[in-house]
Amino acid sequence: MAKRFYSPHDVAVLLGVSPTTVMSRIHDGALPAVRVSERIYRIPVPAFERFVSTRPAPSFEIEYRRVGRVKKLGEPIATPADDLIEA
Amino acid sequence: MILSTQSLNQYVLGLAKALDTRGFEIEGGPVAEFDPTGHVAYSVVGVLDEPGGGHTEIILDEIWRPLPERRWERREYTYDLVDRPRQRRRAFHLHDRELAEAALRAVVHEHCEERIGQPACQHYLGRELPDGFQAIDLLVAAWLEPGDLGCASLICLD
Repeated sequence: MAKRFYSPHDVAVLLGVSPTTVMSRIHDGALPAVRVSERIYRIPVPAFERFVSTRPAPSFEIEYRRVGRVKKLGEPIATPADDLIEA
Repeated sequence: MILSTQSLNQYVLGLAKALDTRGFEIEGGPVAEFDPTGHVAYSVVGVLDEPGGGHTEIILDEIWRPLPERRWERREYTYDLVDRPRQRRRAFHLHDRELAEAALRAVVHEHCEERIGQPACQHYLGRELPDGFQAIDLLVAAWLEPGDLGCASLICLD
């Protein structure tokens, strides 16, 4: 299984900057990270790759569609009516 | 969660951007379906192709209902992580409020499958998430988790 996250120290080494700089980018939201505990952060490898990539941020647009009825979300939940049928 | 029309559009675009900055490709862009009742269903799907093969998906679906004065209320949501390389799933759901309360005694539930398709429990007790951004954080954290997802520590509602 490929490595899924870096530590801030890993990222600092990869970028040739200080861990403090990495933490600053995490705190200002530029580098997405997951806070595992008070002092431990994990940077997803894909997020780091996106951070260093030169690909411009896509310009998203919402595609609106008219439908007869909006879709139902999630899987069906067994209904209390099942009890009625069994009774 | 209640937003104005303009804020709702920005919120949905923000979800797509948040997935993009985490390295997920947004398939087809955000989609919104609306029906004659005025309800709108948003869907944002992020796909991550993994180096070892296979892909992971984060699927964010929400249904919003209109309120007076061009405001909207999020009524339902399903936020799912499908981690195919590790064959596991994590999800946070709020749908069919009345039915869920009657059948599960809880409006909100979660899904947790250490092996996709083989859940130890169909519905786990959950808490309502304030927005899709927190869902992204939780789902990415689950994706990063090198050990078990921790399903055994959750409270089963079934």
